[in-house]
Amino acid sequence: MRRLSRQPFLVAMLLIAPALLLRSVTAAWPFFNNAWLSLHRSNPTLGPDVYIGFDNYRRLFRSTTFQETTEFTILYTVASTILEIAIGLAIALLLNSALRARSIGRAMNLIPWAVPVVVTGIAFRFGLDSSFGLFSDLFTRVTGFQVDWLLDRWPARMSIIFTNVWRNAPFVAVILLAALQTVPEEILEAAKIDGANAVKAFTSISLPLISPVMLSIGVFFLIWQVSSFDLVLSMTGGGPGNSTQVLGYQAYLDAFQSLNFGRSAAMSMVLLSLVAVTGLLGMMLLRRVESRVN
Amino acid sequence: MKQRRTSLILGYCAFALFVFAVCFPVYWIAISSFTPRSSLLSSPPTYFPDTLTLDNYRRLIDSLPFREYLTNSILFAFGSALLAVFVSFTAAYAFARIEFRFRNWFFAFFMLTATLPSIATVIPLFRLYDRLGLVNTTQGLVLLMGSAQAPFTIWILTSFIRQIPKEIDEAARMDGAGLVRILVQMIAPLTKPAIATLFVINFILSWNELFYPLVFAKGLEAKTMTLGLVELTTSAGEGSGRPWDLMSALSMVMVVPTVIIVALFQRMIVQGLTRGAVK
Amino acid sequence: MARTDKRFDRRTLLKSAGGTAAAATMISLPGLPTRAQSNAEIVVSAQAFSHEPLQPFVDEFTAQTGIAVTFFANPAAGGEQVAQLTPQFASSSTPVDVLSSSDEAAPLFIRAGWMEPLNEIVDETFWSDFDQSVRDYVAIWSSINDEVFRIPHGWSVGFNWVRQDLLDGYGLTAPETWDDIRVLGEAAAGDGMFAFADAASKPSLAFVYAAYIVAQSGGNIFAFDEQTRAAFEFARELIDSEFFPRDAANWTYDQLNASYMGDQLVTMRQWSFFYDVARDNTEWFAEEKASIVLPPGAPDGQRATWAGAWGWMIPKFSENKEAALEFIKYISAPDLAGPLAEAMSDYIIPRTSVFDYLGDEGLVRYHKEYAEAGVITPRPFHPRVSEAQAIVDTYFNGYLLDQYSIDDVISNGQAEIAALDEV
Repeated sequence: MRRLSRQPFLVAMLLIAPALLLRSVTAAWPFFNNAWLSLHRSNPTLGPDVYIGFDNYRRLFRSTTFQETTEFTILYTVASTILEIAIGLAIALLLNSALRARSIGRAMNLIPWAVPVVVTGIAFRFGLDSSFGLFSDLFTRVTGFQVDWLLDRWPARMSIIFTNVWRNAPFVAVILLAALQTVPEEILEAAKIDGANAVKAFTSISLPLISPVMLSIGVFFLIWQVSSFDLVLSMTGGGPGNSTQVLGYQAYLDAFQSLNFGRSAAMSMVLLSLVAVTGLLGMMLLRRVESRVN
Repeated sequence: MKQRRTSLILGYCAFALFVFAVCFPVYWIAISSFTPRSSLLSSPPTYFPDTLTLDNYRRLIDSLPFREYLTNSILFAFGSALLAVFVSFTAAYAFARIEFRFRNWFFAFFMLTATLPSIATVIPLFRLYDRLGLVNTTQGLVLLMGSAQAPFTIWILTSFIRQIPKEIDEAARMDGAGLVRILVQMIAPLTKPAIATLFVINFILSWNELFYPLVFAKGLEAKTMTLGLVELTTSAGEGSGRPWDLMSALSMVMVVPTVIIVALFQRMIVQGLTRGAVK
Repeated sequence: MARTDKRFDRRTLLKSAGGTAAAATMISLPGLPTRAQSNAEIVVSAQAFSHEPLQPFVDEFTAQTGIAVTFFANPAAGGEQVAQLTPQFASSSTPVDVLSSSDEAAPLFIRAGWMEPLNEIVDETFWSDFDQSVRDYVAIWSSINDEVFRIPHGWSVGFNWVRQDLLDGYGLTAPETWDDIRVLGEAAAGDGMFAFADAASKPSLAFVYAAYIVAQSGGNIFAFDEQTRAAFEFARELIDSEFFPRDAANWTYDQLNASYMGDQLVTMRQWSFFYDVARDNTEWFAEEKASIVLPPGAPDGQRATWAGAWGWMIPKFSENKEAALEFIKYISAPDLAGPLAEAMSDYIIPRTSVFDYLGDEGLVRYHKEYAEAGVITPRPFHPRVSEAQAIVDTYFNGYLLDQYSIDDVISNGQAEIAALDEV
């Protein structure tokens, strides 16, 4: 460590420089541009940009649909992330177990995630339809309940969260699988020799070791999903009514269905602050967990 | 012994459930792709269609410049994944191992830049790309996508590198190993499952990316397969909808390469373990 | 693809070649020098499925003018076209010289000042070929202050499709008023069928259906007026009395078609593309199962439907404007309109030249019937059309699915439309 410790800043900068450069050009600069735009009436169909201070934000917060949209965005993001982590962990354990079929499972695992989102959305829209849907038909056959999945507020919300989890849990699983495999086998062997059963070995050894990765991926999924909207777009279009509308989709519509760049920018800034709060909390939590592990 | 068997049975039940949950929706997409357009949906739904046809695939190939889109997609996905993993790996090492000033600030910076929805960035980016002559080039798209994936990749790789005991690189350093050697010969092999996993993930992410190609790819030089998803129509009629017959076929075509990639990297993901190394 | 089966044969090619010369003299270009041969190259955007049928026409154009043409694939949905091209237009450049543009995109692009006026290639003689419904549409949708920016080439009409076989069985005629739909509903209920359906999901499709019934009640949909209210209440009543499937509020057109061909609907509103879809389903299809009749109307309204269009535009950033103008002039000429419509049913547009050329065969006879009956109203216009449509979309869809009361729909709808003017 001696040589490094002499000039850690320079060495570190050298290592992060390529990523830093890429991000600065493709994200940081557009970010400032965006912040600036959010203070303007910027809509090419209405003439040149005009500075209007915080009017875009004021209008947003006054809008009747904004609150409902924000609430569902938060619910969608948080519920999806929690379920994805829980189910992803279960899949990872299954694929890391001694089952003989696990290699087939590993090969299959990423398929849901490899299907283009637009297609997933349409597939589930059709599949959950009350009269044509294969999925809703199967559900009714197995449970005896008939649910109009996409026609009522809460079933529609559940459907879209469930579909999102179906798509993303394998992704979480593949990363947690990699994490589980970096857990040194010797320690697990040693624990077994000491008489710990599988559950005990998992909770006392593997889980603490993989928890930083779990938390990282959790925080990142929060960040990603809060602005994602392609599934909503192709599956429910935000309906019934406004029940499954999300902020990211609203920002997209503002920019590319209305050319209302100012308001879209303001919406992005709101999204960004939502995410920044989650992200910072997540990072703090991560530090805690890591210091406990080490 | 009895307990062993119960857990094995439980394990297989869980496995069966998992296989079913993964396959059933994919099965529905797959059979759609072999069903003639006129009998795509039926009420009540059919679990096993009685007529199967390759017609959708034939029409799909006729309606898209397939070879160009495929080549571009492969270059784009491969390039982006490679770029993202490379720049992230070095950065992640710095964040995981080196105590430097503003470390947390830089880390937070990367995280924050990941939060900006891509819609918010395309217009300023387009102006820049127009000036640099990067519009409608695969290189330009690779830079964008590789960059977009860097924060997540850095974030995950940092956690993985932190999992490796510090003593390993300290020992190497004692032996006089330089930074490059430590990165290439020690850290990279130890994090191979993570690197391979992230490569696969980034590959699939780029493979399925729709928005950047839609905005930045204007011709056969750069257009990717995903654009087929928005270009496929059978009629200009107002919102005549996505042609599900062609789209399900295209998505099947798009899933195949990703399955191959996963299979190719499987060995690296699963067997390039730290297990043997951490001794 | 199904659409290309009517090929452009030698006869039409010869005919059109002669016709173009005539067209060129008819629509003369005062401002532009007549160029015999040019080495210009232009990029023309059109939807992917139309490239192949357009090719022979384009080859002929190149042969005549020396202007080479490359195609550029449009995204299928109008909204995606905005996403695809806006960043580029906002950077004052363009990937295409001629743009085939949707109703969602065109008003935005025109109002943003990104398009070139096309007045010099269209005059009264040119427009006299078109039906009044198209001219009304162009005046509202493609022009600002008498400047025309877009020449329509495709016409989407919402047709009223009926099962003549079933109607005969019930001893009924096709519904002419909303009351007739109610009567039909009672009759069809015995067979477990619905009298009427349209796909009414978000995004966009709910608006299409809403605009259809509001056209029939004679309301102004973006004002959320009394007639709009009446139409919405009627739509909801149909669902509550099970004359219209509730599921349809989350259907796309694939599902609507499947339901119709699955013998669950007696009538539906659907775009013209169903004409080919029905004929592809050879097992099911029979002429009387997919008849097109005039749409119904509200008791104190009128029998009506509405139409939208695709049209040619030239981005003002194009570096080959003259060649692009030549192209639009060529492709829009009356003598080419017939052969184009024969090659692609999407190019059927109410023009005398098209009707004369195609006679009474196939889909065109319904276009003629609708045009002659005067049931086609222009698509509802609002200066901020996408946002206004999205508001209707949400409230109408939500009302059909019991998310809002009708009073909320009307008052919130009005408030949100009013708020559009603030920005």
